[in-house]
Amino acid sequence: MKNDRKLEAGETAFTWIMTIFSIFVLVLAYRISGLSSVSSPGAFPMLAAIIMCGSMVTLLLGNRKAVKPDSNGLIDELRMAAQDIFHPVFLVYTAVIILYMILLQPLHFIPSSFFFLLGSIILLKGSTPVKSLIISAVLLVCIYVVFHYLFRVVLP
Amino acid sequence: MSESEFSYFFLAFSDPYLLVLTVAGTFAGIYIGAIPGLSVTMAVSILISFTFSWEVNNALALMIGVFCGGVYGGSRSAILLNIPGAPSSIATSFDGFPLAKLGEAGKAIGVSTVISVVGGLIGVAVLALAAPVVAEFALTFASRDYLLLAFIGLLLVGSLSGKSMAKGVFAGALGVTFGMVGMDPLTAEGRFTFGTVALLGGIHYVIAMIGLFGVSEALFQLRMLKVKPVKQDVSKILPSWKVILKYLPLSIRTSTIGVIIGALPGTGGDIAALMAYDHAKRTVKNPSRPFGEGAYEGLIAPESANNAAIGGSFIPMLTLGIPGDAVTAVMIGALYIHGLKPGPMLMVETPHLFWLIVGLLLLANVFTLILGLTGIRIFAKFMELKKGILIPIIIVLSVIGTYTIQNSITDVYWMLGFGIFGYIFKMYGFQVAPIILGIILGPLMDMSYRRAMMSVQNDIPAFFLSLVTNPLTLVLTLATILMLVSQIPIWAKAKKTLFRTAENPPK
Repeated sequence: MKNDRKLEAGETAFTWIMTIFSIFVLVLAYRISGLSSVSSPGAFPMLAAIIMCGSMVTLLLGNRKAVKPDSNGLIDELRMAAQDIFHPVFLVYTAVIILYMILLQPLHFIPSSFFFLLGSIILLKGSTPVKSLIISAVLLVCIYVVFHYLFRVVLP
Repeated sequence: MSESEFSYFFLAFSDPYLLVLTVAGTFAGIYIGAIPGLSVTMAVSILISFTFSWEVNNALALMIGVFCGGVYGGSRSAILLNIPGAPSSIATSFDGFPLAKLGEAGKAIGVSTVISVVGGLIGVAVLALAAPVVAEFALTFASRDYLLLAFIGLLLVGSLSGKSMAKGVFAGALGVTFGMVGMDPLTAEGRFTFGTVALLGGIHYVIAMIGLFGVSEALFQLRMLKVKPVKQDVSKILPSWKVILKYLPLSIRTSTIGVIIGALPGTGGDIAALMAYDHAKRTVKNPSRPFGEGAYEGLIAPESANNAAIGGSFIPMLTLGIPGDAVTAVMIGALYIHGLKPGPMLMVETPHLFWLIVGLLLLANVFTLILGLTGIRIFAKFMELKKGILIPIIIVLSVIGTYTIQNSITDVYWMLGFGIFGYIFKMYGFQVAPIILGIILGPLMDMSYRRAMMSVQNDIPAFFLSLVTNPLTLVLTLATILMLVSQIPIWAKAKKTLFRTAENPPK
């Protein structure tokens, strides 16, 4: 009997990945202290990993009854999933975030954050380039004053 | 209780310096709690560093103000941005954010402010009247009871968020696994560390929280760059008496849950709020909207409970020296710095301080009401900001918030990892809240389970027997079983069939 739930493109593949990950966690948990004692350091992690495996198997069985996504085979489904989840804006912006994090320490907080804010606002079409420049500068001054002087936190 | 001791209760209201410090603390707390990435725990920790040379009364006034304001402030970002400002605001976002999406943020904030204060006042009243009794009750808890309590907490989230029970359970167990990473506190053995020293310290739950709630939400928002933000109606935030009176019975019930959970050592406003939300979901038959879609009942229950939990959390802290949650743990540190010894002797040696704390808590609640109902427009403007400006701000705040925890850039990468993971999770209908609860409750469950097992010399039948032989544990065991059974799909089907049969009895 089919249920009403429709699977997202790539959902089955993701569930399989999580199942394999759960088994991997179970192996790691077993390697902590094996089955030496019910109160060993590895006992509770093993229990958690078994629950992870169990819930993923339940989900895989449930997925069999769900309505499949409209695709022509596995490759097509994965292509659809990649386009939907890892869409160009996501990929480019994640790369910008990673670049910001890499530059945080060599460039220091203020310059790297300024370029990040400016680049992000222009990229995500938050405002025009000139306005973005002003917004980024104002935002950064506010952030710096609040965090450095008011909260006295150590900035990267 | 002598008259001179009780006079310290009124000192909070009569000393202008204490009044100024409490109002400043509450104001700061509201905005600290509301800014994603800044936690109340962190703010109180920072406050200790520059208040340790102060007089104890003044330091307490500032820290209590920040604590009360911060717990309340966490609800604002939960409502407006779907980013809980504190763990205790996780449940607030379930219905608070849908309300903001409907353009009712002003009303939601107004109602939550008044209800938070109602909860807070109930918490203070219980602290003042029943502190010795509740403390005695909490003192009788054994490791197995903590295990059951944490399990109940985890069980609630699994069913609360998301349509799939299996996905909720997986997320909760995954969170528990994340919580296990690092050095085992009992044997100092590394768990899931891959032999690296960097992972021995474990994964700080605030890092996971910022990543899963802050960054993943920002990445998710990238899909909606072209969607125009809902204009938040914050012109009318003062709720009518009619509205308050309508929700008062529920808030009293959930405040009671909050104060009891808050009084239990190791459990704070986060579990209290989730239990209260679950209580509302189970008991309110005709909510204003379905739960999860902007029900006021779903906002009121956690908000009254987490604020009531503040008063409750002070009970074990002051009378037993055991923290109720992370913030009270830091507060204990602050009291030690001022030469005080939190525990039974504090009530004997310095009872006047107890009454001063009660007075300050009451005062902080009054200021929360005043400050909470003003200045909302500025914060609500965040929601009217274009996504293209809001998303970079969330990222920068998340980076600062993560970095300040341990001044580590590695933590920032972890935070991004959690963010990307949370985004993919969300895309496939998994909820991130159970992961956080798993991370927080996992270590507590692990420790409680192992201590309980060791107390019966690893004898499994004896362990299970201990769950039913002690009256207090038996009540918790029955509650756990009841909750577990009620969440099994077969039970839900059977209940539906039963009700249908009762409504249309066979002829």
